[in-house]
Amino acid sequence: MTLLRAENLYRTFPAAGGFAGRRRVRAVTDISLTMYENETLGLVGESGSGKSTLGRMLVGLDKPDSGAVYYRGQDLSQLKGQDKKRVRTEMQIVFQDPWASLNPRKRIYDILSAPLLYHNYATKADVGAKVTALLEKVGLSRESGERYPHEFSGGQRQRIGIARALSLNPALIVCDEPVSALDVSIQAQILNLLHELQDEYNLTLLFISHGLASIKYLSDRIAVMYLGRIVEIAGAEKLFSSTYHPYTRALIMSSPVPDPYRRQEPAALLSGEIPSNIDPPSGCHFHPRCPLAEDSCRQEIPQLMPVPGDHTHLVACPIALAGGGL
Amino acid sequence: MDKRFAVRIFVWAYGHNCCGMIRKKEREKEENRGQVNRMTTSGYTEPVLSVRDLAISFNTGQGERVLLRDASFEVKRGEVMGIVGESGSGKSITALSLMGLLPAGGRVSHGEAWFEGQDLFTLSPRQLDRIRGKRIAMIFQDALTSLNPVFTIGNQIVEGIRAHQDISKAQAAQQAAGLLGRVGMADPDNVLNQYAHMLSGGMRQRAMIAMALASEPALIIADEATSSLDVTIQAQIMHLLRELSLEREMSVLLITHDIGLIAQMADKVIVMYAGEIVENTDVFTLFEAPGHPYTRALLETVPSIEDDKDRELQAIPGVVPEDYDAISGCRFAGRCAYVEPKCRETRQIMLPLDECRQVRCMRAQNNELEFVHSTQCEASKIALARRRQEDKAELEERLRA
Repeated sequence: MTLLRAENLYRTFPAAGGFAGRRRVRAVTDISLTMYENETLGLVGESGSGKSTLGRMLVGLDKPDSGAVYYRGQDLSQLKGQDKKRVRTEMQIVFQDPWASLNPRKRIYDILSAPLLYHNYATKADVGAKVTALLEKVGLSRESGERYPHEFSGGQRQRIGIARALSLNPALIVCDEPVSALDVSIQAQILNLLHELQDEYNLTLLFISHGLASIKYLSDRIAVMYLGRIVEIAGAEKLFSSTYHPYTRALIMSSPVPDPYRRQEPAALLSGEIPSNIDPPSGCHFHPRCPLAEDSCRQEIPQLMPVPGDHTHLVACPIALAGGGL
Repeated sequence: MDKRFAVRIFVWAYGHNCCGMIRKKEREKEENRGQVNRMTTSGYTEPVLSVRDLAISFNTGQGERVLLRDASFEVKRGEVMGIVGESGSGKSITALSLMGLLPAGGRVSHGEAWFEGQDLFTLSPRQLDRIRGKRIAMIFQDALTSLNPVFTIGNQIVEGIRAHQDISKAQAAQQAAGLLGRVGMADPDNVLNQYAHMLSGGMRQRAMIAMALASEPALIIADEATSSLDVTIQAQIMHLLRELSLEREMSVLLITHDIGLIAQMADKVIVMYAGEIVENTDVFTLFEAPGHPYTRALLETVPSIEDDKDRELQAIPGVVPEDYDAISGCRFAGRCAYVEPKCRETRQIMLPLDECRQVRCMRAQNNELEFVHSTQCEASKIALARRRQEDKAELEERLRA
């Protein structure tokens, strides 16, 4: 069942410096995607590829310049009043930086009880019990409710952020790089917690990360972004076993494998730098770094097309499609 | 084809312990050339850097805290030494102390660091200036703050070149352009005249490496040098560092929290936890037969793109203790799956398990941990030498092309 559908989303921001309105950063360009109920969609791409902007637009934290997001068939931008309030409770977000996303002047109890009370999910009488249940759900003690954010470590704060996202029983949670700011030994704790909670609450997750390994660990499907566009989208296993897009290939080849016997092939490394998204290259944004690039790539913008025999695997590269996958 | 064959013969010879002969022959050959090359094909011999019993303390206002203690290690010529650990484990302050760059309040309270016949910790600031940035260069995570914003890239590299070579500015500029080309800059002559803010993150990092190379250092310290870069750019930069270390027999101290990078880049590895080195071994042994429970747990907790769908990550419970210098016993005891009461009572010391592993864990040392199986140090050595030979062959091929 389709939970959320995005159609032809565009989003630009004024570039820092220069005159406002003249130069614009193209964060997201012509993105359409569908999220199904109870799946985890991984979104991977390099910094500045538009992952976070896309995530924010999907939950209505940011408005697209054009295009629309449909949640259970309803256009988010058309919702008003009570409907809007209700839909907002169903979509939540966990932010990357657990130091910046909790109000330092509020106790954890206050942070977690505010949404419950505002949306009438709890009464003054039973809110305490609900907050305790949430804390325990994410592996924190009841007493931690009395403390302030600065008294917690990064991993614990991220647990609080997850508890807050869970408090209104959402259908969809966008996790925007939830483990990037955490220590290596803590990351697995949070990844495993997200995994368990998804099973328990039938959650749909959008998991945004720049690390392919954690994406692969959590996701059912993976979308790869490059300079504001989705270049490949496929089932998690498929993306690795039959990779089509040359950028996806490069990304996989460049991810350091924790095994000294498995050497990265330097031949597979990309040359060149990531172009600016103020003035992205013409045609296919990837063509200046692409080993397969032909003349047509400089002019035509490739559209996402299905791989022969697998309509769930889409690739925005006609040359790779013609040549077959790996 | 015949090169591969030669490698195989070499590996075979190594495995049969007749490398002494090869080594001797090689040394003779080199001496004949009138040039003493300290490295033989069988590996690394002489340490470039030798750190002994290093301890660093910080004045926190509420008394002094010992943030690092009992750290000893060696970096040999041409070797990439990885230091892996979580934030706050002491990896960065170890590097900064070598450069005399500890932040205010920090001081080396104990220990020696021998580099080219001198103890870095006893040098005067002037003497240290002759080494810092010249014989030992450092590349940082944040290239923008490490480059001077008011001088062109060319200016800064030329300065480094002229610090150790008596040549004209024009000649130095030519060399600088060569260096920028070597680190993969597409248009070196143009970059010479640019300022740091005009370059992208990856290019800045390359410029910083070019600058570090300008003085032909014996040791490069890379402190999370690619952590803020994208993975495709990181791969380029790391590959470059590896090549340069092979090409110039330059040693690299690679500080990172990324286990994948360690596997791909490092020859030897130090694992740090809560202000102590807990394991010191070579990279193959580290991944095949870790000796310390923390190392083992760390390897279990990291996802890899090579994982099967149903792999479960084994999280390490708890967090790194903050006031670890107050712990009298093992600092990992609170999170360790193999902890026993005696671990909490006894201060752990670094002892060798065998020829290629040193760990700070009494249970491993007493042979009480079942996961610590015996390892073939010889096999790791061979794998290391083989990997190096392959890298070298590939580099030569590339340089020829």
